[in-house]
Amino acid sequence: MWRMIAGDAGNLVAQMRRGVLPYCVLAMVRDKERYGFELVQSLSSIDGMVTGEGTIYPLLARLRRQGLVETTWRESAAGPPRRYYRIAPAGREALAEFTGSWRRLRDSVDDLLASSGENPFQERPAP
Amino acid sequence: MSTDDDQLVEDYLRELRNAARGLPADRRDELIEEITAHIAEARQSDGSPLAVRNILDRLGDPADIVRAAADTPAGSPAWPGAPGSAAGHPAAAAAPPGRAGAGALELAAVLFLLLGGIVIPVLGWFVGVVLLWLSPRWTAKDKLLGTLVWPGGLLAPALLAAAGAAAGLLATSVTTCTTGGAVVAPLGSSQQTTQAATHCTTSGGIGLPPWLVITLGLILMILAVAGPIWTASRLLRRARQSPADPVSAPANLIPA
Repeated sequence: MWRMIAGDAGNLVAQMRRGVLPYCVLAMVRDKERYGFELVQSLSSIDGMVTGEGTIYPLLARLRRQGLVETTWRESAAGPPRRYYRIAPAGREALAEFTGSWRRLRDSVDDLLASSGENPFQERPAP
Repeated sequence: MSTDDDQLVEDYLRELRNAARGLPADRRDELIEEITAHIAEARQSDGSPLAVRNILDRLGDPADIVRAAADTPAGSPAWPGAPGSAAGHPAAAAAPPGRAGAGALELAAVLFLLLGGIVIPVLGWFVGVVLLWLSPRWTAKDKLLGTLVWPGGLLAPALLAAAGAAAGLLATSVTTCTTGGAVVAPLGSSQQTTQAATHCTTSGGIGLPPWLVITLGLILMILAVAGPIWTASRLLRRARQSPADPVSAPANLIPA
């Protein structure tokens, strides 16, 4: 299903980002409630994390529908009230599970990538 | 804030509203509300001349936003037992996260393919085929496989068991085999099957030795049962993996 073509790497990275984005959002509202615009700004400031800022809002709505985040409306000093997001118990659970899986995967891949230097078919740098 | 800027925003929101027509009303209204609020907020924090164009560019194509909102069909839970569209329901806390399941449609399709033909003779299987082809979770190859292995699902082995599989092989020449074969049905009883097969050969038939009849019957039976079951388990597995995004399998939780 997945062919390893150089040009596909970009697509793959995009898919991986898309996959981890919901968990990044959960992590951002884990300790502190934030409102939509604030979340979008923070996520956009992370290099390459978000391609279209507008797509974050459907993601937030989905997280809410799935019961992973809770929302409250709060008055803002200037302008209309804002919808604030904070993590729900189910979200905390999902995030904890993801954190574990992510670390394991990351470590395994890191190890593999690092040890590939010992590949006998690869030229090794002079000692 | 010039009127030109207002016009740009107006146009953008109109495009968004148009693109979002297919969304469920509550979801559409909420999306438009959020994007409107975003633009207002962004304009407040950045009053430079290029601001509005920049803000809209960064938001992205309205069609992409709507696509992201439409990804999970309304009412289809993210995992079995998830609260579907029940917004932020506390019941979600109990749901096991991190595993996306085959949806109700997929489950129904597989069940109808397997057993539908038995419950509602033949017709039930066709219901399964329709459901199979309706689901977006399977590729054309999966669907073809689900349709062809085997038409009728477990109806055929059920009939074979009921009417006598081995006898069916000889039925072209020997009528007595049909009744003789009926004894083959309870696969456990070897005594009876031998008897039945003997009966066949003595009455003429096409001269197949009894052991061959029994072996062929068994092979046919195994193929008839294993085929649909293998296909069904494959379909379920694929439905669980798929929704259009194979890489994010663990993140099926919230496909963006």
